[in-house]
Amino acid sequence: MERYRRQIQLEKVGTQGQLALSEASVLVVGAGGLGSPILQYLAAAGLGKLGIADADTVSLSNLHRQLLYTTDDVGRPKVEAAQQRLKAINPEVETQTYSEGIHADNATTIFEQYDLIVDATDNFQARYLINDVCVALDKPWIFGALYKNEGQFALFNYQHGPSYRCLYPQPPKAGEVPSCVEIGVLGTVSGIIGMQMAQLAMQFFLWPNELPNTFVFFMNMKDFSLRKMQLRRTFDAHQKEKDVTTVDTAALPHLRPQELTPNISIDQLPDYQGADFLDVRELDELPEVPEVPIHRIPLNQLSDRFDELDRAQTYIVFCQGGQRARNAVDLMRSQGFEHAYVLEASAAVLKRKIENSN
Amino acid sequence: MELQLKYFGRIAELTGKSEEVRSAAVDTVAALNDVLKKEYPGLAMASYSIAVDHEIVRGEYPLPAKAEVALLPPFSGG
Repeated sequence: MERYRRQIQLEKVGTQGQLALSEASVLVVGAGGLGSPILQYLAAAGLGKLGIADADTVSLSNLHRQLLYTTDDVGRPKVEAAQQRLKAINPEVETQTYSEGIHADNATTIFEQYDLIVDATDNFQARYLINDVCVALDKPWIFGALYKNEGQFALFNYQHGPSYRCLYPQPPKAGEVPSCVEIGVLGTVSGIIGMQMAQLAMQFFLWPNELPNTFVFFMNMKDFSLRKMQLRRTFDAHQKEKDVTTVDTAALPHLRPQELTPNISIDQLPDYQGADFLDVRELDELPEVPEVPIHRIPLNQLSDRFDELDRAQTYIVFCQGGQRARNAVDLMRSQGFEHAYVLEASAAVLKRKIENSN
Repeated sequence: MELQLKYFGRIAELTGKSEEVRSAAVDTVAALNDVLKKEYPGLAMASYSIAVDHEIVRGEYPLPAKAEVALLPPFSGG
């Protein structure tokens, strides 16, 4: 208990509060700019069990804001590097990793094992999936997202409070809202919003009856303002579904990102002999895939560089986790590239496949 | 009716400002939204929610005098 002395000292925490934290379980979906501070602080505070879900590897351009990782971690799966670092921060915390990330097929089973879900992802498919599964399971979750110097955060679906769909009933069109990978972000900004989310998570277990479950917060880090907007529960489509086993998650909208855009699997590659590869990762991301003719255009430059590509050509688009390739293909198809496909495999898997076939 | 308008995130970029005070002969959020879309055509392509006096509301909500109206787009980044 010496480790936690300074927080136990607080009159409204005490040993009871610490006990509540030590019995708590939190799943953090996304171990990036938001997930990194959340995981670090929850581990240090002595949370009982932390789940870490992320399919990405650490890249050099993560390190200015993802202080969970060090330079030596570049190229390692995030869940593995995160687990090791969290153990070093606090060996008393149980950690569980999900290296596939969260998708429609595993979300329900995994979410059921946690008291609280934290959405630290960077895309709308994942966010609506988390929302809809949490609503179906009657599970509270903490939301957070960034745009340049601004951030939003909220506790959703708690004690019949509103959910994300009460704020934004439907996802925006693909490509409408850019992510940090596309527009950049200051590490301090993702850190501040991540800390707000971590604070909500702490209070969730320490003071469960004093939570702001009917508000969404908008914070501007540049003028240091915070606005609290009242939100009512208006989206009740899933509320009747008390028996979660009857919920067909595949039937919920936007739960299967791989079905929104045309995909090909790595085993279908021989069927696309004349196709070009298009790598939409940042230029410093590893591994390189040098053995095939490749266009390398980071997603944030793509819309300015369509003239380098041929609308009649077939393109197989890849990245690391798949999200950027999906965004790129959505964007390309909206611009007349009818033969653009998402490769259902990361750069590393493609590299291995090419090496093995040579 | 005089209104205090606040623009967040990408909406501030589409309108070129983060806030303004303007008079508009409208009595609902939906009517105000139509006026703004004419003035700032970029809004037609954008998703956003609207808060009146710090409460998220839907289209037919009546606008009180001197209301603060905030246009709140979804953010994606993490």
